[in-house]
Amino acid sequence: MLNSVFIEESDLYMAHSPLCRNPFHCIIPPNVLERLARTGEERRRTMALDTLMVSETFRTARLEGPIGNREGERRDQRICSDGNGGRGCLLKEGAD
Amino acid sequence: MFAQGGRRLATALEFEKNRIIYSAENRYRLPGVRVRSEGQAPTNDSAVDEAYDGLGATFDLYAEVYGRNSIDDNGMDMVGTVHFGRNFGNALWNGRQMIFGDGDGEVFNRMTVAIDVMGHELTHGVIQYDVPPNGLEYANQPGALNESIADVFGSLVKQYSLGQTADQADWLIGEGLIIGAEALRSLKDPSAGLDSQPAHMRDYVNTSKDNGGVHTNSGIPNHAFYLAATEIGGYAREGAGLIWYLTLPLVSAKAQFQDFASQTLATARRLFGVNSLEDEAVGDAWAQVGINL
Repeated sequence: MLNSVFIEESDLYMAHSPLCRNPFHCIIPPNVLERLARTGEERRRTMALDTLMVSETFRTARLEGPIGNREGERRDQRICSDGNGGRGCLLKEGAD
Repeated sequence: MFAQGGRRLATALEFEKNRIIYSAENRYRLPGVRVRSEGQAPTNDSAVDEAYDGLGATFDLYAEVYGRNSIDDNGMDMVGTVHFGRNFGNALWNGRQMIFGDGDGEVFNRMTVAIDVMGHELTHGVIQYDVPPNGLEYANQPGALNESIADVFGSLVKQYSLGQTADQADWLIGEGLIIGAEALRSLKDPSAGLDSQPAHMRDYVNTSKDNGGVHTNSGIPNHAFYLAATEIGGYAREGAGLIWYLTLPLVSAKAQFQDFASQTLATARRLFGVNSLEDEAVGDAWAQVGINL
């Protein structure tokens, strides 16, 4: 099980990039991972939950939008996903 | 060089492919350490070399068949990061680059193992740039169309790289990705994959999950494409694939299945003529999945 996952906020959501207009698409859909998390044995459940957690971190970052997006503002915030079995448990920390 | 449906089809000779592959070294950082650039020799790291080849195969389909210069049709670098995270069982497009996990080796294989996965994810990028203003909305029917078009061109990338005609193709998405299962999805038999899907509008799933079932209801337009492509015969990329590709800029971000189907029929008629094989195959295909035009 993940203890914590640190992903640079700028890696999650590239709204400031002219190349990015609608980010985040995954090949393995959440319903497949949720099914594995519900029905698999321990190792499979752990993998499915961890993958869901990281995938949801990307998705949530997209839905919430960039943090500290004013021009010139420091963008060193991070999103920390607490991996203690809780989906959608997203903690923001760091920054200004 | 000619124009079709308002789209300029250029020659691939004008284009320069530029692939850059990074390794996250099993951490959660992007882009990671650069491990292979365009023109460099294979590394003997399967994930690195498969990502390099898959990004190249996707670029080649779009360039050589549709005259498109990379994802944005403006020469965008093709960037991928492999070995992302620990046991990460997913691959994704974040709007700027591809990201591949290694899988856990028990349920999911490494995400680079299926070439159509790269074609699928990069096609989400193509849709972003082609459907005004920001791509097909990622929810409900427009979202399912988004997923379906990504599956269609993912399969075409695989077929192009293998030199397969429509009747030779397996029409699978994610073959080899899931250990113990044939594939993630099937355009030929949407009910058959691990991610079982409907193949007809009477089985359309109304749900709030997965943005309104975008990965579920995509089975309906997926199957319509399969039916049209196999009825037309030959290389799917040249018949149904060309029709689907040239239809993309003609639909709105909120397009419903009916809207997209109508536009594909209009494109088929414009390209191949009324009552042509392609015209009738496209109309029949949509009718067979419950969408009458």
